[in-house]
Amino acid sequence: MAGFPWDCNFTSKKMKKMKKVIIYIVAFICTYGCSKSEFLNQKPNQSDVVPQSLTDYRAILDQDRDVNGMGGTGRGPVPGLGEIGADNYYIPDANFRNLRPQHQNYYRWDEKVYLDYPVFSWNWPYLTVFYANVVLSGLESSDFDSDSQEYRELLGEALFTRAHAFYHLAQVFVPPFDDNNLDLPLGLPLRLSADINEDLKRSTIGETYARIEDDLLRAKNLLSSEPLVKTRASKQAVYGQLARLYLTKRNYESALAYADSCLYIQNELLDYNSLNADDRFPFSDIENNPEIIYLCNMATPTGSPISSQHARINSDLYESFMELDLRKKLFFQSVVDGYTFKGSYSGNLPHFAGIATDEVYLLKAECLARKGDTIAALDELNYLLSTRWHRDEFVPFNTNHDLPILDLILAERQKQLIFRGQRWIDLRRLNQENFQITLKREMDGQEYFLLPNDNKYTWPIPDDVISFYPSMPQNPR
Amino acid sequence: MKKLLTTLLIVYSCSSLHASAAKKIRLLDTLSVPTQDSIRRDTLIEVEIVSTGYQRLPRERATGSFDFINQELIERNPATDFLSRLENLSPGMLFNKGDASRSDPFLIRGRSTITADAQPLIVIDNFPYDGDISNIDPNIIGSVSVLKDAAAASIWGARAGNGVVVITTKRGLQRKPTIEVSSIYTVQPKPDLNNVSWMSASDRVDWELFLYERGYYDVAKMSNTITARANPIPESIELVLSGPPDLDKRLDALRNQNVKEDLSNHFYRNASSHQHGISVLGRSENYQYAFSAGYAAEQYDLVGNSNDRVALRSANEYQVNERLKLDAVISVVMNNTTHSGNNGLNMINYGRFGLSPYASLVNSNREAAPYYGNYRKAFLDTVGQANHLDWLYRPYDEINLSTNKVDTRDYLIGTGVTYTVMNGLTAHLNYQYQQQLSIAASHNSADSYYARNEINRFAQINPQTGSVIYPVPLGGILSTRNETLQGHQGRGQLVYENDWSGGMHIINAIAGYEIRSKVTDRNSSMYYGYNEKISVVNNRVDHQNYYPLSTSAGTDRIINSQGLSKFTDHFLSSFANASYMYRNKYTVSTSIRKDEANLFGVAFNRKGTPLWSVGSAWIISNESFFRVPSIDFLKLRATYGLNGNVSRMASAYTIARFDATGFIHSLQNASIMTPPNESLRWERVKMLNLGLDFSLKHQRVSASIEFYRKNAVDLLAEVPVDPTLAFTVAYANVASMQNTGVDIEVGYRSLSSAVNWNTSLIYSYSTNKVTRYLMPESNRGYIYANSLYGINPVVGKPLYSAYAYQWEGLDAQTGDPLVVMNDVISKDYLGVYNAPLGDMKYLGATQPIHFGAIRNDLSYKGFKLFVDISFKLGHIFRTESLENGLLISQWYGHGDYARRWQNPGDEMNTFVPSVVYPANTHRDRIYKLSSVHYHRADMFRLENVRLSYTIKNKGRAFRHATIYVHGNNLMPIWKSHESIDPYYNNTPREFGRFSLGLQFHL
Repeated sequence: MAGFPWDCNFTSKKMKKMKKVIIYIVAFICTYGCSKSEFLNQKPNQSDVVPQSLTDYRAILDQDRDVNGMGGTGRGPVPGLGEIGADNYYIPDANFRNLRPQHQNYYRWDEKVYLDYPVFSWNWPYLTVFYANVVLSGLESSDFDSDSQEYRELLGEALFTRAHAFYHLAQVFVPPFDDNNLDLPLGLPLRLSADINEDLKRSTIGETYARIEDDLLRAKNLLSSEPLVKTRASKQAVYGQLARLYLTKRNYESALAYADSCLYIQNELLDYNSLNADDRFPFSDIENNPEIIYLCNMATPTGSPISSQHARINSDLYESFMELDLRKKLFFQSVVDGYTFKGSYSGNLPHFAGIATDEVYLLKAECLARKGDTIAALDELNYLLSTRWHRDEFVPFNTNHDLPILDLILAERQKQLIFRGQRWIDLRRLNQENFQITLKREMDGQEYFLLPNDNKYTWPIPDDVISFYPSMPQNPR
Repeated sequence: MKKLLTTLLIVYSCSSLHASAAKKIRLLDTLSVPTQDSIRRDTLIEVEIVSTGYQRLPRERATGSFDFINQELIERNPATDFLSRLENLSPGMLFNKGDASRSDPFLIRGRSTITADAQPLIVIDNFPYDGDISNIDPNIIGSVSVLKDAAAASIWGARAGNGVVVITTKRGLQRKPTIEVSSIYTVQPKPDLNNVSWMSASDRVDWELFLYERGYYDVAKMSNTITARANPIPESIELVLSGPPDLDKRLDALRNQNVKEDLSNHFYRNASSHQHGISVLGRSENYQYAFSAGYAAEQYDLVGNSNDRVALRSANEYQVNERLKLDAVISVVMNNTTHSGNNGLNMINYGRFGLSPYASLVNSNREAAPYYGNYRKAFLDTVGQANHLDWLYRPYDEINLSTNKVDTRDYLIGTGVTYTVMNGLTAHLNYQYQQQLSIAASHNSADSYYARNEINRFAQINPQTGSVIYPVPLGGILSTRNETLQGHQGRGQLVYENDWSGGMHIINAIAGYEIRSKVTDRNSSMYYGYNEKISVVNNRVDHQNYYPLSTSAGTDRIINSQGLSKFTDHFLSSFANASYMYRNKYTVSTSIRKDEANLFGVAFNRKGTPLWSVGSAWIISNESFFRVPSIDFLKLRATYGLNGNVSRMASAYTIARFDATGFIHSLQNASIMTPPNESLRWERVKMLNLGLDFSLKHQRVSASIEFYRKNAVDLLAEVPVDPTLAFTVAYANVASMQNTGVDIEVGYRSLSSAVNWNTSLIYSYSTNKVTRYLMPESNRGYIYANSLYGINPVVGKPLYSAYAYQWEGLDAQTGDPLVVMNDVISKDYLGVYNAPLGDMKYLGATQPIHFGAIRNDLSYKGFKLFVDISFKLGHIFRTESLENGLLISQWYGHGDYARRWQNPGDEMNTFVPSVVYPANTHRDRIYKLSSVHYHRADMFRLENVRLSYTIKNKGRAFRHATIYVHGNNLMPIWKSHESIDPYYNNTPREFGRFSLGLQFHL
């Protein structure tokens, strides 16, 4: 029978020997105990790069295919469903029949829109959000020098990238911002970590907008105004995006302030006289397009309704461009059955949906006009348009114009920002302000309408998302 | 755990001094001490001491499912590799053969994982063996314990989900040194190639003439492009195109050729092997030693393929004083495998369209004949105006011109300290270092076709001067792949074994820590211009630029394959296990283990889930109330617990891959390949085991019956995820499976004096089904049905299942195959192809459900005869048949061509459809997967027959000597398919292996 520890009877020699053994064993335990986390943190496969350093995070945010939608893969942080629902285009009957059934439903604003095809307008912007979250989680979890320039830039860019994608998702999948609906649980599922086990639920509309606003306001103090490439966020990009945000919230005063700040940093316009209208893509020199503040594309799958394969420019819209307006030739290409769009600032087929100075000028002009400062508003508008018309042919608008100045500015806004994803956002906002714009689709003699403030201005959450969260509320339709 | 250990250390440091006064300290290995259990019986029977790799205990005292395989059984099969020797010895162990081996070659109690490795863990003495299993010399094995249930295996925690095989090496047990010497010579006749069904040469010639008439070879008549001139056409068509006056005669000559004869005569041979082993075992008062050396050499049936292995091992134990024991193991294994450029019957390796049944590979002078499988003869004769190197492909010569060698060196050094702290309590420290170097070299010599073809393809010939520039340098091409595996394993462990009150209480407990690190480095390179005689290579090869090729209008770069990779596995584990036996009747046992690994990330490791087991056993026959004279032993056992398994398909971390430039900028950037999954965790196997052991009539009959259920949960599998998470599919611990089975072992021994007869039956029933799998079922059943041995989980079905289209015979008018789809006879092949799995017929599992063996031993004086029969039942296999599309696109075809439907009425006698031109892909697919090709693979086989004679002569130079003749892999005794043996389903049929063996114990 074994003895008990308390009735030990030591002899010194044996004690010594025992001590030695104990020291060895303790040393063994310590050796690994001390470096245990290091031992267990070894990479299982050396060629896997587990992002850990600022250089790694820099590289992740520079992945311009997934973050900005470059490379013609149909990706991008801006949902294509907005532009698809808007009134810049129509689809001739013959082309309509070639559309994928789900895309036909999109075009008709159907009651039940989604069939079995992925909703890329949801998936791709959330991919961008994921990249931003990988960086944000990484920056938080390690001990980086949070005052270093590199750290601040990465943090700012990631915050901007996520807020920018959330903003655009909200314009498509969340009911229009209104002071009365902020508590409705119809906001976005705000995905804020990179872990695939994150449990998601829809936030309230107020929470969605607060998250966008907070992240942008945080980012604004972190970023510099001299980005190395336009696919990276910058101070002016944040200002531009904040101006957009407040415009959407119909807080025109703040919108004006941020538009001003944005233009203070970057205000150059591209003189359209320097472009060649015969080019297949007149804006292909994106490197030297001084208007681009932030470069990203719209998420549109191949063969989407707004691809130039199917879409033709709304005739009234096309006709509203004067002959001496250079845009008529630079933006549009004549095809057998109408006109297609070729004026993307992406310099190719993908639809540019980033931020550019032309938009900020228009935004500023609108806010000035709403403030009643018509002269200043017209100055901004005329400055912009003078670069869009044949040199010396442009007759500046003056206060004697027969249209209200605001309407004039809004009309120019639609024309300049065609296929930039802005029209849908504007339609939601303007109808909230009683502009009473009704959209119409016509095919095979059948007419479909989208009435002002209709529930269909909010696209449903994709069915495969809802299927994961049975209690997630769907948008009323 | 640390706390516990510290406490234990204190206990140990104090109590040991007390214990030093104890009178008796068990010397050396407790293994050798006969236990009471064995003495208790009036017939002294060797007690089976099973080993878990952590401790050894008498099987009778165990609660779990242990199987014990002694040295005699290991030597029952003369195979050179250790795994083959385990076949048919233990219930629950399944060795799949034939097509089924493509799924899992070796399983214990079925597969219970979807994406992880299903191979059982192999342990040698104390530590898992990470090297190549073929490096294990059977000669070193003293016994093998198979751990099948949770209580037995759970001490191995996260790696025990598939069961554990523990090899205990030979030990010296007797004072007089034992020298064991053995030699085994084995031969196996060359395989039967006719077991592979090919259309005859004559049929092939006729078919090619038919294709020719239909214009299939018209492109060969044109010579406007290099490709048209270069692309090979069958020899019969070459003849037709050249139009000799004796065309018919020459075509008839082709019809009479048979390439299988050339192959069988010149490419195959009788396989043979010989192996020799010597072991020296013994002990003195304080020293125990075991040395062994083994040599095995094998010549495989394909000429030029061989393997040899030298294995040396020395294991020593030294009792320093009463308390301290040291041990050391050194083992070196050198294994060399050589594969030649012999393609054998692997017809697709013979060129772009495979091997023609009328090809002639060796001419009448036993010289290699060229085979025009890659380029036309006319092209080779004219291209480059004879300035190229010889460009002919002679398969027979290639046997000696290319070699693929893999040399493995496996070094293992282990050391241990055992300190007896007090009576019953010992402390162990063990450490083992393993290094396995594997050097693979694929050498295509300067004369090999591969090297000549590469040189010629790239050769730049000036048509005016005829001067040649060789971008691929003249000489051989050598590809190497080196791998270094380095493993460190360390363990500190306290063992407490004691009994009180004359064995009324027996306690057995261990606790410890373990650390394991395994790092694998790989690198590969390719060398051009290699000259093996002087070991030079040409390192000025331009891999960058594109060169115009002589064989097509295109350009190509010279292949450069270089790679480096490194894999690291780190594990930290703490474990404890204890059992208590009361009055030799009641045993309870428990174990717990926590594993941490570098696979799962810190977050998971912090949480960790311990793997554990509990068990109990009741020896009813030791109860005083138990009075059944015929039953001399009766024991009930039950265990339950959790084991683990590791799949590497997912990562706890974000994994990114770097690119040098983006799409619109030239900045370094990284794409995210795998999302981080912080809740990634071990796969867990919950295992219930119920066992009944008994022996009757003075142990003449002994039996063990076990029922088990394994519920594997948290299996890593693909799962659709919310696209909001940025991925639509990810790997997660979401799937579940269930295995249910019964293992039975019954032994009978007659105890008469002159003729001894022993027989044992092992039988296993094993089923599995997927119980949870979240990926939506594909709406095309074909995908599941086409691959019989690929993993396509369907809830409610075994992981490997057979599905088929319901066969309905042939169309009487056209000979088209007909199947029933939704109660309608259909020829809508595209529609059937697109039908969901639910519309197909489920036929059963493709791995055996019932399997086992019957072993019979008969001995009379020095003679001993044994006969082993194995059986596998309840599974399905698919036979092959004619593929119409392949018949057109390739130069060979299935022999069912001869049985094809040709005229109305044929449908009464054949199931082979008419052959059509052009082929209809979907018609081929539907026919291939129709139920007419699916059969039960049930069989009984004669596995081993051995006759041996042993001379025992104590006074002379040896203790005993045995000589035997042995036949292995003999033949199926009965199979459910009348002609096809599922072990050799349309592959060359192997014949029995016959061995002559000699054993001396000096």
